[in-house]
Amino acid sequence: MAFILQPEEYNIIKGDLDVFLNNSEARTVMLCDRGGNVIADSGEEVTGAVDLVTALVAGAYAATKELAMVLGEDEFNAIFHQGDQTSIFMSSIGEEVLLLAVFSDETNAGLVKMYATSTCRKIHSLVDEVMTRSEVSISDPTQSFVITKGNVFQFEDGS
Amino acid sequence: MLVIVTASSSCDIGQSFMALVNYAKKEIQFKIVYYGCGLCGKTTNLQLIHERAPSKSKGNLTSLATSQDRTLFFDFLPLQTTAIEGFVTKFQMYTVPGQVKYNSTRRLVLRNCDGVVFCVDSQFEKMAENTESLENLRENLKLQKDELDEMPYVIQYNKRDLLNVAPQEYIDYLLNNGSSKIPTFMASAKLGDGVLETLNGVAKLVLQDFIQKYNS
Repeated sequence: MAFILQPEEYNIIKGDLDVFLNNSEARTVMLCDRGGNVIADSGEEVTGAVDLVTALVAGAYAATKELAMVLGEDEFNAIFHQGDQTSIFMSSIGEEVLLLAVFSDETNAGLVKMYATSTCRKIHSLVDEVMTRSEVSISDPTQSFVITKGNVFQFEDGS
Repeated sequence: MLVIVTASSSCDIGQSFMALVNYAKKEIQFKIVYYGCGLCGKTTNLQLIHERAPSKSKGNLTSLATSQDRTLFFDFLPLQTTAIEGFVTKFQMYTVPGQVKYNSTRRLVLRNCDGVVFCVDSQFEKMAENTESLENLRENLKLQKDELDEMPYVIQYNKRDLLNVAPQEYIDYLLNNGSSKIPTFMASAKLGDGVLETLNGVAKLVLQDFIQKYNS
């Protein structure tokens, strides 16, 4: 099974993330699946570290879910980490997707949380639709995948 | 007091959810997990890949480890190739913590994985731990509705540079005794032998599995 995002769906999600950034004054917003794969991101670039941030967020979220279960909750569906200058807010969207907002002390957590909650609600139905549809294979013959020849990876010494 | 938190079997891990294809960005992401018993060399594999992969195709290697350098949560290494025509193909490489007590963490890291490298410590005295770890991998995959034998999966016989290693046939008998033989790779991750071959082996299987499913 795969999570397949068509360009029009990506553009809708990206548009919603842009609106969120504008309203909340957060620096960066990312959407990832619970395995840590990046779905979309917007705002200031986290130089060379988007993959790492989403991997850690997925890990942190999963660990916190276990903690919630020990305490008798299904999960904590919103998590907030506060730093001196940079803070993050994480929220779940359905069963498979997480939203992460990175923001500075120029805005405030309440504003970010409020707009994040409404953005999650907006994106939720689209994400659900994509997930349901992804269980069928691609029927468009122009969208076939071709593996390039040779080894997938090579080391620097040419081995 | 030692408290071991184990997620109950009723824990909703959710349905397995794999490769992520983004047509707008022309990008495909896969997740590969190195699994195996404690100290079998999973982290060493990623360290060597990170050391030798060309800088344009790798990100930083991040290890969430204890002060004794034992993996606590996972190691993470993003790799990038052009293995599928017209798409940037990203492989997110993870290791799990091998110590028995971290089973909840292993299950979290396995989530949404597209392929597995089962790393074997070839030393005779480690065979019980290897078999236990393989059984643990099967059980954890079952909880996320995956079957090991139905997913891209290779076995690496690591630490072949040591003197007290078991013969390949013996390890095959213990760990690779199903009706269809799993691809195996002889390796010494510490010396760099067999690491690239293992990586290419699992990556090819993951890609072929993906193509087979989605080019129908």
